[in-house]
Amino acid sequence: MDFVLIGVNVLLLMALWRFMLKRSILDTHRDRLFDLRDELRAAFVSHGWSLEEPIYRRLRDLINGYLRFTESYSFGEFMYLEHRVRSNEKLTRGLKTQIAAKFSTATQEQQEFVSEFRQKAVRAMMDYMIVSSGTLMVLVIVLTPFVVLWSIISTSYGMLRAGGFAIFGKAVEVRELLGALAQLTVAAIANKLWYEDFVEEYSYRQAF
Amino acid sequence: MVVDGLKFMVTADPAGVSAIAEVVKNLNIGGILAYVLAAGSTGGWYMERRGKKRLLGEYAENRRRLESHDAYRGSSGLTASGDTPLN
Repeated sequence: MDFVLIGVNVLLLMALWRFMLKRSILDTHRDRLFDLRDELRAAFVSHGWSLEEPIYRRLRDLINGYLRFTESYSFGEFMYLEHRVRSNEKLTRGLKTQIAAKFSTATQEQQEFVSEFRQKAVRAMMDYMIVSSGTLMVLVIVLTPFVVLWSIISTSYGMLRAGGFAIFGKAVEVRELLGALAQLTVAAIANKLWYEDFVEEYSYRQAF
Repeated sequence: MVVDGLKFMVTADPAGVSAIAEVVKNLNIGGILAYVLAAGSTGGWYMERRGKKRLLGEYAENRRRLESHDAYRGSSGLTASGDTPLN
């Protein structure tokens, strides 16, 4: 009887992951990308840059590609492809040059905006790949308490060294803080596992 | 009133009380509560999600209106509620 119950519970957990959690994770990351797309338009309007510029079209297409194919970004496949591409230096250089040329702009200010924007988009996709991978999600849950502890210790030490006790008087929303720390854990894992710029190169495999 | 009722039960049939206690013990209340909690959370999740999808649809419509005069407004190809199309 116990074995039957364990089996039923495992099936329920699998259904929970597949039909609820993964869908919510996908929605959350797509929300981030939609926000980024809105930010892109707002930034172009506020800076007085034309929406007819090719760079606007390219950035919007990039985000649209991420949005459309978010679901098919898989951690395992990404790692495999990254490894294969990295082992071919000529291909790596070719892809990098091609993509850099595609997103080059005339002015310095615009170039800075474009770089920052691309980085934010890549971050959202990397976060999605980590969080939607069951194994890595477990790793995030296990590592988060250590990152929280480390952050508390280093922040307190920094504050005390600076001669003030502001940390104790400052009102910090616990939920926001924990969210930020979980993000920090995800970013730490991402930095250890792969190179940011390959996300864009990987995204182009969707188009071919 | 409850105590009076319990007194009556105990004096009337002490064996019955033991039987009820045995049933309650074997019921695994904790397990049942966990399933009820899980079912409630699933229901809550579904209702919240449905509401969010409805709002996303409205937001997409507003966005479409805002961008209607833009020179370029390439689409993600997702449905109005932000889901992957079935085909």
